[in-house]
Parts: sequence; structure tokens; C-alpha cells
Amino acid sequence: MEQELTQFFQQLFNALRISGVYALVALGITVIFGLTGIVKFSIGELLTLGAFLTFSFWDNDRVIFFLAVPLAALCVGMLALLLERAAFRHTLEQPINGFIVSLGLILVLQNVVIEAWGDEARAIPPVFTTIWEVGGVRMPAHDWFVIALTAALIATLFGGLRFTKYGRAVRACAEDREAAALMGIPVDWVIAGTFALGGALAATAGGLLASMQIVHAYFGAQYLLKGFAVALVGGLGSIEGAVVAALIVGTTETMAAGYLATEWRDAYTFALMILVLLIRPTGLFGSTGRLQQTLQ
Amino acid sequence: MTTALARFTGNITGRYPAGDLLAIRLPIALLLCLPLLAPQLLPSSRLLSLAITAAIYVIVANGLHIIFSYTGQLSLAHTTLWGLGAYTAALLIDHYSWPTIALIPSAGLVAAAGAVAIGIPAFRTAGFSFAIITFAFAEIMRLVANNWTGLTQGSIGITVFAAPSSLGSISFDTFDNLPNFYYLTLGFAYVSILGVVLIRQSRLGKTFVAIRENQELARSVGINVYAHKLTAFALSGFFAGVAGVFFVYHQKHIEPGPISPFSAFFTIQFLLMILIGGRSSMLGPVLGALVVVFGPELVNTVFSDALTPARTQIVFGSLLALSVLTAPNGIAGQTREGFRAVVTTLRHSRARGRSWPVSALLALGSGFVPWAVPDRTLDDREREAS
Repeated sequence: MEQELTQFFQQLFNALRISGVYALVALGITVIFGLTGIVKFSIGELLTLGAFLTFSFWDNDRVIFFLAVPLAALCVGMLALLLERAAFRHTLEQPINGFIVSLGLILVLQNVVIEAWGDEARAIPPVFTTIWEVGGVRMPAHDWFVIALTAALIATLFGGLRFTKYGRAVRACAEDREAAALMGIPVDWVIAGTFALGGALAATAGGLLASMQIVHAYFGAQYLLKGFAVALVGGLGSIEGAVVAALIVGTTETMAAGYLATEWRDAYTFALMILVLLIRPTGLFGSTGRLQQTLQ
Repeated sequence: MTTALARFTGNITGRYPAGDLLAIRLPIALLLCLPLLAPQLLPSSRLLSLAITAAIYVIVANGLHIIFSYTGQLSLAHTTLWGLGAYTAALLIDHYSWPTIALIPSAGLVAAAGAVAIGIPAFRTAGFSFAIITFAFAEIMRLVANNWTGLTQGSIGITVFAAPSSLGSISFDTFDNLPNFYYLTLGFAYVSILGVVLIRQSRLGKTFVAIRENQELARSVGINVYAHKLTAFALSGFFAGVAGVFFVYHQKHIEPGPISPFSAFFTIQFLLMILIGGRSSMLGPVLGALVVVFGPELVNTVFSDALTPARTQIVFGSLLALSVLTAPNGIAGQTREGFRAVVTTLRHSRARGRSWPVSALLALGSGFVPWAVPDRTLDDREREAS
């Protein structure tokens, strides 16, 4: 009995750890969709790029990990901004074209990573090596660091969207782009900003993942799919939904993998996503309105 | 048959009042016959093997054309259905040594059934949700192929050394009689083109297009949108399944790996084919498949292996993005526009009294660089004013 309880809490801890990463990816996806109606699939490759850039900046401690991650996030954010200016802004009228453009970018970015870094796997050793053990549940300090960092980022994002001028502009554009433009909000730049934000969040997730597991040129796709499942379950366009859904998806997946067969780990998430979409096509927290227009 | 062909070629280029039979339909008919000479024209059996790949891609892409271009539903599970057909064929050959004539309909039907099974839940949504649900199903099917080791041998995959059943004295063995196998595959590629044409011309195809253009309006005139989408998806799945049989005969192997029909790479590549070739044309997928298969080969011949596989994918990815942004109707659409520009410029130029050589030069220019010649509508207004 006690051992089962320990195992349960261990799974719960693992779920919490992975949920934070999913939330970071999903938030980028959901904010971009909320403003533009574009489903941006290439965000997974931005995550990979973030991981590899972090790796290069870190370069065995020349720049410490805490600096390498934000630096990588900044670079990827700039790249995402450039891509928005070059490509995505031309697809605002037909978001499905933006989706197809992002599919093309997947091929481009993935192979740029392969050309630049090769396709062998790498990993950054955890910064904190202490492992705390509470009642048999093993909790590495590094994982707590990741959880705390993601929680802080999410809180900052929430606060930013609620209280800053840029955040208000984002919410206004999400409500009604044309009306926002009439009020003098520079809609173009607000949208470009969300693409940069989405890229930076994904890159941060990538950088953190590089210190938690082995990364290779193809690993972004898997987190993109999870991030997407999270964004859809939460309701595309809803940031509260993304965070709640990240916890739901992370927990479901970890628990199911822990207690049922591990090799079907991804299938549980997709089954959950399909189920939610069929019962509630707008997701758990999805608003109607804009979303319905895009879905129909 | 002749009228069907005429209507078909007419639709590729748009309709022109006079002389279009000779100017457009005949060249296209001749171009369509060109692949028949491939075994004589292509210098190596490696190139012929590429031509076989192209023919298989044409069948798969034609299937995607029905659901994506005509019905307007972005399915990301299409190549997975292709893989499903390939697995069906591989298993039936491996365990029961079925003849080709039985494999083709059964692989097609299994893939069509797979499409219906995905479509029944997925078509309850539309747009992005549909695309992403199909993607999730594709991932689940990849996991099944990977994890159901008892049936599929997991990531090792199934290897079958089998050739299509001989027809009398004609053997289709891929080692000694590659040209024969090529003609067999090509034959089915032609059938798939004809299939697309007939579907597009039929009442069913027109209903598909009506659904693409305006789903609500289609529903309001009594069209059962859900059933028609399912039909389109099943038809596209059938094409993919049939192509799966030839894939197995050609590759001798099927596995759920990163460069297999189960990979996102192929999903993207087939979308690329249709968009490069042209969504709005019946021959779009054919053009697209040819570009995707022979494009890198051509570049590598000219620039001595400058394109590594990774670079090829970078080019393909950029092309996909560029074609969506700048030429949404692909090669076929651009050619059509160009041809229209040539005809109109020539007519207008002659009407304004320019000499033949000058008119011809202008017309050619307008065909290749449509934006380099003066606006034709402006031309018209000038003429009316004077």
C-alpha cells in the first residue's frame, strides 16, 4: 500500500514537471492562434532550435546555463519575428495558408538544425545535482528549478497580459482586430510581437528540456504535438485553458504511461484530445465567437 | 471518351474561343504520352526506378487531390492511409501470397475503410480541428504499426520479395523486367488520372466542390455534407491504398520509420506536390510529383551533388512556403495565367495596329513575366477612350 502511494506521488511529481514544459509550448500556440487564427506548426522546430542554441551558448559552462537559456530565447524570438514579417503576415486573410507555410518551415528549420549541428543526440547535465527524497518520492532539485521557472514565466505572462499596455493591446486584438486598429493600436506589431513571444517561449521550453533529457534534431515534433494537444484541449485562444489543460494532459499521460503500457504514452494524449474535441469542439475553456468562425 | 478527354484538357487550361484544341489540348495529350517512352529515354535503371516512384506518387497525390483540392478538407492522415495499404499488401503477400489482381482492390478497400473510420469522428469538426484530428489519428496509427509487433514486426518492418503476378508471358519482376513493372505502375497512374477527371466531371465531384466553396450553402440546398465528405475521404483513401501495393512491390519493405509513409515528412511532401503543381488543376498532382521526384535529381546532375538530403528538404520547405505565398495556384495555375496573358496581349496588340513581330514579342513577354507588361485593363480603357 505504502509503496503504491509512493509510486503515485512520484508519478504526480513527474507529471507536474512535464506539464510546465507543455504549458510553455501551448501558450505560444494559443496566443498566436487567438490573434491571427493561424495554427503555427513550426513552433516545435523553434523549440528544437532553442535547445540547440542553448547547448551552443552553454558550451560547457562558458556562459552559464541561466544565461544561455534567455539568450537562446531572445535569438529564437527574433527569428520568429523575422519569419512573421517575411511570411506569416501575408497569410492573415487566409489562416489555412499560414498553417501550410508553417509546415514548410518545419522542413526548413529541422534541416537547418541538422546542417548546423549534425543529427547526433546531446544533453546538458542538470545544473543542480541534489536529489531530495520525501517519503520515498525522489525529487531532483533541478526539476524543482524547472517547475519554479515555468510557473514564474506563466505568472509573468498572465500578469503581463492583464496589466501592461502591450497585454491590453493583445487582448483587444484578440477580441476584434479591426476595432483595435481603429482605436489606434498598431495591430501589425502586436501580432508580430506574439509570434516573437511564442518563439521565445518555445525556445525556453527547448532550453529547459535540453537539461532534462537527451535532445536531437527531431525531438521538437513530439513536444509540438503535445503542446498542440494541450492548446486544443484547453481551447485554442484561451491562455487559462492552456495552463489547466497542460496539467490535465501531463497528468493523464504520465499516469496512464505509469500504470498501463508505457509504449502507448503518446496515444493516450491523442485519444484524450480527440475525445475532448468531439465532445466540445471549442475545448474546455474555448470561447465561441472567433473560434467558431475559424472552425466552420 | 474523346469528349471526356477534350473536356479534361479544356479544363486544364481554361477555355478559349478558338484554336485551343490545337494550341493546348494536343500538346497536353502529347505530353501525357511522353512517360510511355521513359524506358527508352532514361539512361539508367536508377532513373527508371525514380520514374516508378513518380508514378506511385502520382496515384497517392491524386487521392489527396480529391479530399484536399476538391472537397477542401486538409487531411494530414493521407500518407498514413498509403502506409495502411502498403501494410495490407505486405501482410497478404507474406502470409497468403495473394495475386496482384486481388491485392489491389483489397488494399484499396482497407485504406478506404481506414479513411471512413477516421472520417466518422473527424468530420464532426471542420477546418483546423479536422486537420489536427487526422494528424492525431495518423500518429496513433504510426504507434500501432510500431507497437503491434506480433502483426507488423514493429520498427523492423516487413520485407517481402515479391513481384506482381505475371500476365501470360509478361513478367513484372523488378530485377530483370523493370520496364514492364514501370509500365504496369504507369498504367495505374493513368487510371488514377482518369479517375480524378471522371470524379471531377461527375455530379459527385461538383458536389465536392460545392462543399469546398460554401459548406452552409451546400447544406441549404439539401446536400448531405457529412456523407459527401466521407465519400470523398474514402475515395482518396482508395487511391492511397492502391498506391500502397505498388510501393511494397517497388520498395520490398514497409516500416513506420522517419522516412516512411507514416512520417510527417511525407505528409508535408505530398501537400507540397499539390501546391506546387496546382490545386486548381486536374494535372496539378502529376506536375507536382514530377518536380518533387526529378527536381533534386536534376539539380544534383547540374551542380554535381550539391543537394544533400537535408538541403533538398530545406529547398522543398521553402518552396512550399513560397508557392503558398506567391503562386497559390501552382505551376498549372501560373501556366494558365501566362497562356491567357499571351493570347490577350497578342489580340489587343494586333487590334491596336502593332506589327506582328512586335505583338508576338510583347505577348511572349506577358506570358513569362505577367507584371512586366502594361496593365491590360488599362489598355482596354485607353482603347475605348480613343
